[in-house]
Amino acid sequence: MALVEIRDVHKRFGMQDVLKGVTLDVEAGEVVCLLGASGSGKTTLLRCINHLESLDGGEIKVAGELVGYARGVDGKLEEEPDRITSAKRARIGMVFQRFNLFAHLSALENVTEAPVQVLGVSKADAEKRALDLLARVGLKDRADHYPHELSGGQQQRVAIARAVAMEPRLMLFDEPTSALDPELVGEVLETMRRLAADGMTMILVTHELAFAREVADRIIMMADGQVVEDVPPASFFSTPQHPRSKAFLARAMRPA
Amino acid sequence: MRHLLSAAILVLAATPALAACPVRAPAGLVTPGTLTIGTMLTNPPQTFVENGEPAGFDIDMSRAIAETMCLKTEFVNVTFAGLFPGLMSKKFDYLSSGLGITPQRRETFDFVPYFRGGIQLVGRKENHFFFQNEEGLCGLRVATIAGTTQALALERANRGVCKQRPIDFRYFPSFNDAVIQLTKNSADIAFVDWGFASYISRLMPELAPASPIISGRPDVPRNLMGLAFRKSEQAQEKAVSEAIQVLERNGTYGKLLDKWHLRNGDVRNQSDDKPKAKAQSGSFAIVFDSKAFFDTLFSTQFFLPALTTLGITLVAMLIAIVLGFGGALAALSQSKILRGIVQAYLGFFRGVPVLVQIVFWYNALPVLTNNAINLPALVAGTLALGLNEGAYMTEIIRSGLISVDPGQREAARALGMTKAKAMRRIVMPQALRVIIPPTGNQFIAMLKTTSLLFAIAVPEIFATGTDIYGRNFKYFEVLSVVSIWYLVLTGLLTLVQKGVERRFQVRQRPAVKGALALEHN
Repeated sequence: MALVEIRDVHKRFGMQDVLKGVTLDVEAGEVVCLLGASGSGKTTLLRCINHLESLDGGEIKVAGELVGYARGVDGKLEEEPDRITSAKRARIGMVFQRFNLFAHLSALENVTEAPVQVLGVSKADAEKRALDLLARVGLKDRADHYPHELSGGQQQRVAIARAVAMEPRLMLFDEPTSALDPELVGEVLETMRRLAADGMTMILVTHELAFAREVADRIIMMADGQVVEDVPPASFFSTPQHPRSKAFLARAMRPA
Repeated sequence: MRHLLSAAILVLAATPALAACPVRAPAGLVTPGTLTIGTMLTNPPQTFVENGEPAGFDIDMSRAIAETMCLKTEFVNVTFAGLFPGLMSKKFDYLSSGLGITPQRRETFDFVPYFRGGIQLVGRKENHFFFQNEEGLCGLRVATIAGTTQALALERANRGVCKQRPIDFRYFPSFNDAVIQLTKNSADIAFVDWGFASYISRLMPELAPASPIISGRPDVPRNLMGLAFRKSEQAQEKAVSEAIQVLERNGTYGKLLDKWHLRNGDVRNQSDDKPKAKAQSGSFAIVFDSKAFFDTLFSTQFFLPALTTLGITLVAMLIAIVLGFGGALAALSQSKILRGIVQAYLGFFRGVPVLVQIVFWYNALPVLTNNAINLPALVAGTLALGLNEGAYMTEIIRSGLISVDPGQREAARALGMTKAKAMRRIVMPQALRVIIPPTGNQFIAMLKTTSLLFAIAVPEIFATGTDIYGRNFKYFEVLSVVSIWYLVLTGLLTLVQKGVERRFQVRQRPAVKGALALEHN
C-alpha cells in the first residue's frame, strides 16, 4: 500500500476546474516533484493532500486514512470533525512559499509551539529537540531571534525545522524557494537534500529543475489539472514524452 | 406707535376689559414687544404641554400678565438645570416654572410671589400611605427631583429623624419621572409639588395623595412660589408685580386658580412669608467664586461618584469586549445566519443614539416586559453603554483579526492545530497588537460617555455636579471641578493605556498581508 493514494481528485474554484481527475500514488521514502506551468494545479493538489483545500470529487488517503473526510454508511464521503482532521494533519508536514513563521514567536518558539500544543510534548523536551533541529539546519545561534530578524533563507530553514519537529510521515513543500533571493536558495535546498537523504517522504512543487533532477525519484508533470507524465527524472529530462512536457522543458531550459 | 397698534389689535380681538394697557410695558425686554419666559414644560398642572402648546396655571398667568401690558408671550422650554443659568445669561425676561422662593435662591435672584406652594407625598392607593411627618418615610424609597425645595427639605430628615434608617432617595429629571417610579414599583413614595400631587391623582386613579399639603419644615409656613428675575432688572420685576395686582383685583387670578383646581394656592391666603427687602439692585455680576471652587474641589463628595464612574467604565468595557470578540468571530464565520445577526446588531446599536438606548433600557424595558424586567438605573445604564460599545468593539476586533496574514492561520492548521487553538495561540496574539491601541481609546471615550447616565439619575460625576449647582447656582465653579475630575481620570487611563501598549510591544513586526500567500498554479 502506497503512503499517499490520490484517486480521481477533482477541484473547482468557482467556475474554474483546477483539478480534473488526478490519480497518483507516492510510496513511503519517495521524493516526488510536481512540475508544470502556472495554473496547472500542482499547488492545489498539494494543499488537497492535507485538506487545506476540500475536494469536489475523488479521494485522498495518507497511510491508508482519508484526510478531512469519513466514509458514511452509504459509502459517500462526509466532512469529519475538525479535531480528527487536525490530528491527521499533525503527521503531515508542510512548508510554504512565504515561510509563514509565527510572527509573534521566536525561532525556537516557532519550532516548539506545535509539539507542545498539539502533541502534548513537555516544554523542556520540545526545546531540547527544537535546539537540536535548529542546529541541524544551521541556526542554533538564531534560536532567540524573531522572524523579522532572520533572512528569508533562514526563515525557511526554521520553517522546515518546525515541520520536522512534528515527526511527520510525509512532507509537502509548496515552492519553498520561490520567494527567496537567488543567493539564499542554496541553503534551503541543502536542508531539503539532507531531509531526502534521511529517507523522508517528500512531495514538492518546485521550479528548481536541477534540484528535481538530482533529488527526485519521480517527476510528475501536470498540465490543465491533470497528470500528463509520471516518470523517473533521467527519462523526463532526456526524453520527455508528452508535448506539454516538451514545451515546458524547452521554455525552462531556454538560456535567460 | 407700536403701543397704539397692539392696543388696536387687542380691541379687534374683542377683549373689552383690556382695551387699554393697565400696566406699562417695561423697557429692556429680551425681545421687544414680547415677554420671554423660561419654563420647564414637564410640570403639570403649572407648566406642561397640551396639544403641542404650553399650558397650565403658570402659562395662563404669564399670558394674562402679558395682556395687561399689551405684550405677546414667548415660552422657552428648558430643563430644570437650564432655568437659572438661562435667566442669568439673559435668555429670558423671567422664569415661571413653579419655582419655590428659598433664601438661597433669593441671594442670587429676585422673586415675585404668585402662588402658594407646598409639598405633598403621593403613593400607590393600594398601600394606603398617609404620613403626618417625615418619620414615617424612614427606610422607604422616595422619588423626587434633585436640587428642588422638596429635595432639600426632605434631605434634612436623613440627618435627623431618619438617621438610623435613612430614606432611599432617587432623583429624577421631572415630577413625571418621579411619579412613574410609583407605577413601576421602583419607589414607594414620590415627593412632589402639591399641585402636581392633586393633578396626577385625578389623572391616575391608582395613585393618591399620601400626606397633607405641607411646607418643607414643620415650623414654617408653606413656601411661596415666585416668578424669578435678575436682580439687575428692577423695572421688569416692578411691572410684572403691578400686573399681578391688577389680575388679583379684576378676578382673573381667582378664575385661573379655579380653572386648574389650585384654589389652595391662592397667594393672598398666606400669613406673612413676604420676601424681605431686596438686596441692592444691580449688584449681580458674574465672578469666579474661588472659595466655592476650592471647597467643591477638595470636598469628598466626588470620591464615590468618581469610583462609580470608573466602575461603570470598566464593567461596560468588559461587556463590550466580550461582545466584541463574539461579534467579530461571528462576523468572520462561515455561517450566513451568524453574519446576519452581527450585521443587525451593528446596524441597530450604531444607528440609535446612545442616550436613547440608555433611557430605553431604564424606562421602556419595564413597560415592554410588563415590569418583568425592571433594572436599577446603574445596571440599566451600564448595560446600555456596554451593549452599545460592543458594536464598536466588534469592528475593532474584527479589523484586528483580518489584519493577521491568513498564512499564519494556515501554517497553524497545517501543524495540526484545531481552528480554536490556531485562533487562540497564533492569530489572536498577533491581532491583539492591532486591537489594543484603539481599545484604549474606547476606554477613555467610555469614561466620558458615562456622564450621559445622569439622565437616569445614576450618581456618577456629572450627575453629582448637577446636583450641587442645582442648589448653589455656582455653575462655572462646579463644572470646573467636574471637568478636573474627568481630566484626572482620563489622565490615569491614558497612563494605563501607555503601559499596556508597551507590554504588548514585543520584538516583532506584524505579519503583514502582502504579496499573495496563496497561488493556484
